[in-house]
Amino acid sequence: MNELVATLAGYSSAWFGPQWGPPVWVFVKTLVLILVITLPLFGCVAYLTLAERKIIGYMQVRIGPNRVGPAGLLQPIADAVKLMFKELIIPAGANKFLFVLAPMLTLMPALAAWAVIPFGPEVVLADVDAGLLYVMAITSMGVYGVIIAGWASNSTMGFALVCVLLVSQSLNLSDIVNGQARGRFAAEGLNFLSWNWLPLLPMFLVYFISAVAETNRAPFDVAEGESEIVAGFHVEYSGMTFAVFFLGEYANMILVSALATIMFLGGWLPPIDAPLLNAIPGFFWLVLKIGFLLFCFLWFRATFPRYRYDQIMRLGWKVFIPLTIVWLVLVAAWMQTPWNPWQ
Amino acid sequence: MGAPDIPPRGIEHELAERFDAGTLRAQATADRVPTFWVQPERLLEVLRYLKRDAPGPYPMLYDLSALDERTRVHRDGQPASDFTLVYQLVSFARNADLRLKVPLTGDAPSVPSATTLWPAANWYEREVWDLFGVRFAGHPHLRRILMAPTWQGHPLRKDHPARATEMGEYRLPADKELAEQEALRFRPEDWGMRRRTDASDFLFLNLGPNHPSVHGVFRIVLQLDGEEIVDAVPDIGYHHRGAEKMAERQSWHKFIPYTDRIDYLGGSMNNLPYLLAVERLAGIEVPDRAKVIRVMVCELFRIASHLVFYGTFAQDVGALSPVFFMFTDRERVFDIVEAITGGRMHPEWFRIGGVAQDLPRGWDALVREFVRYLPPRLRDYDRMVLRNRILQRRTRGIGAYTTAEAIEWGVTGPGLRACGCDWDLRKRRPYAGYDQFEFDVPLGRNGDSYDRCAVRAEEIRQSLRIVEQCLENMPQGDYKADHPLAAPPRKERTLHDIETLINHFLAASWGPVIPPGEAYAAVEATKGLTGYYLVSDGGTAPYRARIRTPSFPHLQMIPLICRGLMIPDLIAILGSIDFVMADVDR
Amino acid sequence: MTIELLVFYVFAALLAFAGLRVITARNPVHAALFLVLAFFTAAAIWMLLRAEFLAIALVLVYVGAVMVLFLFVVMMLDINLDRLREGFWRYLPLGAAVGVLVVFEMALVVVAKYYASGTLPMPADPGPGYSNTKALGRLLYTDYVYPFELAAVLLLVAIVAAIALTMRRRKDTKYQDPARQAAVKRRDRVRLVSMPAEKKE
Repeated sequence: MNELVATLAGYSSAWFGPQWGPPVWVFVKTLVLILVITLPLFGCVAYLTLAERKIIGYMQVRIGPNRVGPAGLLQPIADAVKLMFKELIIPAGANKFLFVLAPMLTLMPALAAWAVIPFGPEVVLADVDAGLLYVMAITSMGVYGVIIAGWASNSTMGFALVCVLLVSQSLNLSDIVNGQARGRFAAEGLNFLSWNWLPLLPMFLVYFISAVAETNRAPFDVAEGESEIVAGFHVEYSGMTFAVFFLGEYANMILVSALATIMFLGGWLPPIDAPLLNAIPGFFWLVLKIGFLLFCFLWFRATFPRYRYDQIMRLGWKVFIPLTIVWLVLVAAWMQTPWNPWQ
Repeated sequence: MGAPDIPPRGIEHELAERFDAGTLRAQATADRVPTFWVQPERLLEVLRYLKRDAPGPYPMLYDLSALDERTRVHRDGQPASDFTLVYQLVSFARNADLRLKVPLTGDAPSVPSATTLWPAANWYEREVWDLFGVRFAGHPHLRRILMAPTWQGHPLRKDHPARATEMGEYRLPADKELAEQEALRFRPEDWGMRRRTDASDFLFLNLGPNHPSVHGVFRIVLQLDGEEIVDAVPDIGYHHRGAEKMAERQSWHKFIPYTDRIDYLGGSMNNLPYLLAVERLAGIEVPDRAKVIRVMVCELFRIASHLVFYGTFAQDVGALSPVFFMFTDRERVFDIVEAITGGRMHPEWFRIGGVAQDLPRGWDALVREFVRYLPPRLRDYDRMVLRNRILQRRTRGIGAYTTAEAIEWGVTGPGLRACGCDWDLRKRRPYAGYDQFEFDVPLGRNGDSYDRCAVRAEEIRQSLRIVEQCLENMPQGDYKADHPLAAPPRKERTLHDIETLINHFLAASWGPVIPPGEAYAAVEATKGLTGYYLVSDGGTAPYRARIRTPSFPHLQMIPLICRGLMIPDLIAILGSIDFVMADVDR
Repeated sequence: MTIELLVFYVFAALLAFAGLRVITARNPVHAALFLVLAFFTAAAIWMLLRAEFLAIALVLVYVGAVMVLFLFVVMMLDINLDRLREGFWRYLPLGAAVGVLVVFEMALVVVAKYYASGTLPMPADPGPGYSNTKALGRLLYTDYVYPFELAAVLLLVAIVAAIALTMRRRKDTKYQDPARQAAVKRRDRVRLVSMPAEKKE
């Protein structure tokens, strides 16, 4: 593998000369890696929609899609084809440029943030030191799509991550994962008790609930509240513009789940330090954990009534932020005591 | 209730002492509701006395309607009148109704408006103006309510055509379409609203007529200050089908299917008040078996309707799953209804004098299985809906009204009981044999959206109790009265002699001829009190059929209870009222 | 020409273009969006200078928060463009004066380089293990901890003041206390009343 990479790099230098060769090679390599990440991500989004319809269907004593392909497995493909060939309707009073720009602005950050997500030890597109900050900055831009399309939210999600930052003493996502492999319980092989979710349980809950709110999912889906504003801005989008919105939203769901996995659930680490589990590739564990969190997203949607807008704001500002601040101080104090579990 | 200061004599004596004979004239009716004629100029005075000053007052304006008397033949001893207004009041202290009739003459009569006494009179008077062309002097917004704003004529007048074919071809050219649409545009100034104040500009928002949370075609124009509702103007009439007009050209028997569709979730329950009124006019006594069958089917429909309410209420608040579970359970109710009646949502199965058929073999097994099946499911639903913290936050303290307000605005049924008022017609004035059943009446305390839901959830259990008692104690006997006016007529003896064959032929083709008179009957329907006020002129069809539905006044109350709340709260309120637009617009 | 230089010129051109469009775009929403683009490109240029913390902070604060508010204001307020243009000539002298001043200042900085006076020496390349974020954090919380905390308190006061000044209470708003809503027991809500059936009709 490494030889192949070296050979390719060599070709590049040979064709473009010693000065231009390496940069061109880096450019091409990065481009290929981006495609390697985003294309499967699109596939995941497509099948996440199917999973959502199936899982919620079974929760609601229905069958869900079962007509296209065996057990409805080709439904996402059919949906994609349908959306691609549907007419793009732009409302008469709308600004064409902004109208088409909005869905792209939703999708773009949802994809760009994946650059720093580690899929395993050393398996990451850009191993940035300030990876966590990068993710926060990029996801904060996701709001533009919705605001141009008509709505905006506010973030308490980032705040909850400060505790993680505190205990792992790093902004690098790979370091954060590796940090969770250490600790009192990990020394005894019970890895999963050393992951951040247990010592930082309130923060994990705050983060996950905020993540649900951030992605406009039930019970915080006031931006598209079915019974109130009848899908909100989605009503005005059709065909591919709608599909892009949809992609962005679901990619965001996967992204926040991936972040939660990395921050609180030990990323690619196996739950117990046993030879058999260690043999399974880390990527599998990562996908398993992300899948579990995504299932929770769907589960919530089938279970909870919707919050009112001001109740969400109250939850964020009056409950989560004070809770986070108090917990932050507590954790900082805790780390100075001899019972510090992160050593 | 029975307050001690009410004289044991009837209201007749109180009124006779207070007003001279020239003001009030009594009339006998088949339903024995005290009925008085009062001249229009003394109307408000009498109403005020009855509402405020009379011992055991009549605080609720229960119904206000009219009839066109111009072609009526049998009016023995009644004052001369072209149009007659009919006010029906309810006294909770006396547990009695009272009917006031106002004779009006001329083609464009006018009476003083009662809106100053009862805010609930507002829509009723608009309806009378819309359908009969009677003006109410002093009404704040006397405009059409059920018909389109551009409609010509007043449909419930006897000279207005009843069929579209009598009206010439309908055309909708572009300019007319524009004019129709323009007529629907909301102008705040027409309703005495301001577009802005010094502090803020108001946003006027159309919610509906096509919106998933308005449960049909119902439009509410909201005056919003930011997210907050300053005022609301409900706009109804989009579902108006003229059921009352149709009654005048259907035979007494053939009108039954139309009643099924008034509250289309109530099914056979709708037949009952109509038939009770007809049977009262005709003097038919229904056999016990038929009574118990009716009660059982009605309570099954109450369960079905409340299940729909329960699920859609949760859905309106944003919980998507309960509605699927509850619709699945409702299917089980319909399976039983189908086995018994052959129909599902609208079985049109009750008949004058009884029901259409006897119960099929094996009905008891079906009902027994259902009675066992539902209670554990209800416990699950309570956990899922009523005990959910988010739902509690969305509905508690939202859309609350007091018992006094409820009575003032004409609220009946679970909406009234949610305030803590123990008014259940099945207990207070048992009809159709309800006095023979043991069941409790669930009451709320706060009259908010949550209580309205909790009361209905508990009513499902009580209905199950009643169904179970029907199951265990189904009497033997006839399923239909052996009475010449019962329809369809009995067929057993028709082939024996020509006399009965002729009678059967006439009764089957024309339908029964109900003796002249007036009768009113009400039932505790799924959504509140549904009542039919029938006037027979001795014909094969009702001379006038007034359908008093509970949802009509409930919707009128929306502005009062949603002011100062947000749009999502309004959705929760709409869900908690449990209305269907067919029940409002008829 | 190195690749870094090429990237720099690309970003610089983009930045200049975006900045120009901010003041020339007729649609205020477009202008605000171009400002977002300008911030973003500026962040990219800072990234080239290895000031990754500053770059990310720029995106996080300005693009992620400040500009969102800007856009809100621009979209919510119905800005009358004609009225805005009316003032163009009136404000031109002042605007031009400020512009000239800015150009002068920038010229000073650029020109000063040629005379090699008043410029700071280039910092040495810190090497690969160096973390800009960590260094900045260390400085802020040791040497500059009092000014930093003071600034934080000032900002807090500003936030509280802004909310207090714009808070508008309406009397007729119906408010529910969430704690009370959730505290009520079912038993207090619905009771079953056993009623005798009254007179039979």
